[in-house]
Amino acid sequence: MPLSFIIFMVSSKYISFLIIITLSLYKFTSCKDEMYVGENYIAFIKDTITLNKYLSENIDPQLFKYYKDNKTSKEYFVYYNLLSNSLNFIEIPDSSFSESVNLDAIKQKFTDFAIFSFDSIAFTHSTKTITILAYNKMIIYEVKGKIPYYNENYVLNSIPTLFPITVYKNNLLVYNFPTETLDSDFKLKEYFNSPRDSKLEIKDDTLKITGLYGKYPHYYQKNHNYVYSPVRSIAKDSLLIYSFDDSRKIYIYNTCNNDYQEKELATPGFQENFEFDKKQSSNFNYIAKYHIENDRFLNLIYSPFQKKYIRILSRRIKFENNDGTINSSIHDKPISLFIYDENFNLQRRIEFPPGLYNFNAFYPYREFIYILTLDKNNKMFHAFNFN
Amino acid sequence: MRSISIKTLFFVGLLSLLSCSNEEDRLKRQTKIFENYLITEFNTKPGDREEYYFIIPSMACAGCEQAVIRYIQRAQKEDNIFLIISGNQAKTLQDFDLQHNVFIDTENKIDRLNLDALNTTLLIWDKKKIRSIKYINPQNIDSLSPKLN
Repeated sequence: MPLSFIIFMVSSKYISFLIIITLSLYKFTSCKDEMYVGENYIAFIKDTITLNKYLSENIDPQLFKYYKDNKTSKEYFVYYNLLSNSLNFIEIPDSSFSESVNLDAIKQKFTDFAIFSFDSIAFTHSTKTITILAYNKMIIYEVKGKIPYYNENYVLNSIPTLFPITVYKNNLLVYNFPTETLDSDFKLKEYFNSPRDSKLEIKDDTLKITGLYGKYPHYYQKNHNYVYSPVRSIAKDSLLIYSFDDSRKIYIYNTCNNDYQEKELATPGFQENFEFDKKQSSNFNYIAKYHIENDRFLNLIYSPFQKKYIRILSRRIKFENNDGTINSSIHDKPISLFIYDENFNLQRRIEFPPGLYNFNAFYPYREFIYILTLDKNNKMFHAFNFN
Repeated sequence: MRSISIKTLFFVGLLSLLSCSNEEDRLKRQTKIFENYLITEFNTKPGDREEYYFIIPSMACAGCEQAVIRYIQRAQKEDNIFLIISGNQAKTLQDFDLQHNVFIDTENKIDRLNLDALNTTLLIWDKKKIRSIKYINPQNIDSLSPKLN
């Protein structure tokens, strides 16, 4: 082969390589409003609504709730104090008023709570019952009445950050969950065939199911990619949005007219997850490695104050390090925040390095987003303004 | 047809040899990691005899954890059965009377070691190296753990 031809081949490959790199870099950085948050550039404001004043070892920072009293239009942050066994309502933004609701009447351990009003609060316990604390009296409700696809063997539960018990149009939204391990194809099929979310109505002293939402896309019947729980978000016009760890897509339900639509959101840099080997479903090492070495979506949050959606993505990294250690925690992964307008057009992408923030304690309020720091000795919320 | 079978056998044999040596290499690496961990965190070394290390990391299923602690409680008289528990989980020991052979990893370093110990685990040490590492749950704890008197 003539030398000039070899040089031509090599140089043309080199040029193609350069073109590919340039194109992929362009694709990766084509979102104009990128921002990098790092130790050297942290654009936050400390303690703008005195949220940090209430942080202590007796408070779970992942269990803060925003509550607006519709009668007075006053706004509160509500948190649970383990030491006093009470829910504390702090008026925001200036802490000018606070009130405590004692929970001694509730005998069962609770996993989450939702507020109808100061005098009426609902609790989940990971059992088949919901407790309502009304005027200091405790009422326990069990779901009555059958409905197709509702699994009566499952319990009512919630995880505050991903699918909280929520007051929705004067009803409650609660997840329906199994307590046993899904260790057979039959159990898995049953699980992915039943919608996760139940709308519960309290009427004439009984708890009735009036709707089921959050059905898994058909794809998960065959290949669940270790996705068990959808994330539920409540968007503008009371739309319900469900999203999954491994997919760009979101699923939007309009409960007024039973309309349903899918949307694929722009998420530059997201890489499709590799297939989960079902044979490894009880191998915890494999599961951890799978989560760490894939891009996985966390929460999708609607900020009614900013009229924006924020989706959190944990980026893939290597599981094993050369020094005999592993990256086993979600906090080891870099995080990307994708900010969308109300029509799901991508507006900004913000990159966070690993180990700085706990994205399970993430609250939008007015023009800010409050995120908890991971620094054990200096745990506090930082307020970010990404506008 | 015959040559295909021989080829197949050859490749299956080669693959199993490779996976054996991979497994051996992995256990060799993990032996080093585990020895270093015991020395730096607890100023102790695994012995020359057969020893059983139950591990409870920060993320462990509640039922599995209880099963391991109950087993360790019954094994208090044994001098070759140990519990390593992450500091995050140490409060679960409050309800049990465990006097011996318990190592509390206050800095939760066990969570970050490449030891295949991301849930309750039994690590068996034998002849100066790790013989096996297996996940433990309430169903398999009796069959995988040493019988107690």
